Amino acid sequence: MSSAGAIAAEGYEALVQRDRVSSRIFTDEAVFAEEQERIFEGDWVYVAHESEVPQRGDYVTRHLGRQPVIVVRSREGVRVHLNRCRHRGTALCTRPAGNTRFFRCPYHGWTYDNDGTLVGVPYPSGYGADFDKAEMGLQAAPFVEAYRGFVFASVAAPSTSLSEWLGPRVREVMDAFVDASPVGRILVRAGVNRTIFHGNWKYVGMDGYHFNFTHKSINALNERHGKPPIGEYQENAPGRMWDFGNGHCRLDHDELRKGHHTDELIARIRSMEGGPNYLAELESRLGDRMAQTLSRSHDPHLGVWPNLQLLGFHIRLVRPLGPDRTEILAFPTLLEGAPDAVNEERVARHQLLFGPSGFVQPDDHELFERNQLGLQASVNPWIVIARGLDREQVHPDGAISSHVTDETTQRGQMRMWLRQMTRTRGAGDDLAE
Amino acid sequence: MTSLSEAGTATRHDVASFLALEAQLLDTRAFDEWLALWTPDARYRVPGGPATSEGRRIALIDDDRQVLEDRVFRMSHPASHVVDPPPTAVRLVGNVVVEPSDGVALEARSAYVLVVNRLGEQATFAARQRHRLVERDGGLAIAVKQVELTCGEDALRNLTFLP
Repeated sequence: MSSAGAIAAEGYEALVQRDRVSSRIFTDEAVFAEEQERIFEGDWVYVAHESEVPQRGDYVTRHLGRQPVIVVRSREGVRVHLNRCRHRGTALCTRPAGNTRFFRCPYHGWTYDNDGTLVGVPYPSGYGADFDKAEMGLQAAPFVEAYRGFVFASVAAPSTSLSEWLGPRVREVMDAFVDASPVGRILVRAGVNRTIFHGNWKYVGMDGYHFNFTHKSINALNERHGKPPIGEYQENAPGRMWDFGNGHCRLDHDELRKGHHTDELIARIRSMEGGPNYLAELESRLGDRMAQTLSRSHDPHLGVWPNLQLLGFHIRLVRPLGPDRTEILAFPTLLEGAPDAVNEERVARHQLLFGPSGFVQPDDHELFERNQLGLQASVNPWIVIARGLDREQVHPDGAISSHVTDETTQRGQMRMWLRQMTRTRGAGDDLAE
Repeated sequence: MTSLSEAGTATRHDVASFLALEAQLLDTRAFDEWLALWTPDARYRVPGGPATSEGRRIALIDDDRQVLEDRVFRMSHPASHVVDPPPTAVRLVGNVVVEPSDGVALEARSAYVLVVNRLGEQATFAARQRHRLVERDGGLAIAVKQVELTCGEDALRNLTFLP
């Protein structure tokens, strides 16, 4: 283990190069601490979906980097408070989710309303005339913005507006995920898979190269049922890997799935109870965008830097716990206004594939743990991310695409990582006080 | 298959023996014999994750017979990395309480503790389980099994075994 000073002297530029990355950034405690400060507490991160707190007083507890927060539906809308009493610092909420009229500290009884205003201090005569309750409300996450119900927050002044941070290509894919609902809203109300693996958070990228090897047993299962292997990740597959900039990326199967695949998907929905009406509502709302919207919504495979993915039917939230510990929260989403049969199938499909007993995710986590073991061999520390470097296509807006098995996404994420880890920060960036 | 003490009436002893047999088959990864304990219309359910603010939870496992067979296939396939190497495990079933049959099936509630070893690490799990058992061919068969892990709401590493 090396000190932060040693890293600074060496320079992150030496550790993260165009075609290779040093394993130190996956194993080093000092690098992890700086990632938390600069990436997870230095710019936008995803924190919750508005539909998780539908009623006033509904809350969920989350983290912005190392900072525990409460995301609550208040009179004023969705608020993000630091989960810490302003008196002696006690955590106010310990449950993952709930509903409350007030946050009352169990230690000395200080009480806050859902907006974070301090509304009660027991035995107030003990405080002098200069004690101003209005100044002692819960510390709010100072920057909170939402896009299509996805709530992002930042502890420090963010580098741009949320809309600009995401950019048009990311927003377009998020739109498709949400617009498969006939009223244009998803609901995050079906529970959550919480899984943990003993490995670094940056392994949870977008990778089209691993499927046929890591998930070999899925193809074996297909063979057992007389079905062909998964076509998306073959060497001749038409899919594309996208680096959208800002570390955002996508594994794009639009080309493979258009036409026959999507026709089959629509036919299957039509055969479900309520399906024809649902499709008619979608068509009147989306017109000729319906087929692509449905196709994309069934697996957007979008990565929003640094901690959000839309994968299959779920929202995936990545929470780094240490250089070698990561928690993944996977929330299956429902389509508001869609038939029960459609939503039940979404949840059943999600439950089958993801979570600690799923058919897919555990093999990923097993391999992430083996990756962490392998990186202990640091004599030759280089991880190679060169695949596809000579066949990438740069688009006029700066986005880069390449074959679906290429490491364009890894390079894009590493470029963003380096930018955030080396960016010179302004004096006004840090949380006030 | 355990046979019943008296024709047509499963005693608490029969049920406890059956649950012990089931545990041993899982411990020894005798999955085909374990599958043979289930009815064709069986349901195997393990809820997980914390509840939403509205009280809804996800299922870690919610299998009908078909998916259960797929799960067993994957659990024993050499390409499944989570079982390479496979875990070793011992399950202790106890506190068996049997509700009388409603004419179709009887309900058995029990506690179990599972110790799992894999790749040099040991993990302990505890669960309450409910079995809905039907009498079949002079023995018992599982129609429904529901397992409630005490750690089910927490963030879990891969479950490389059948809970």
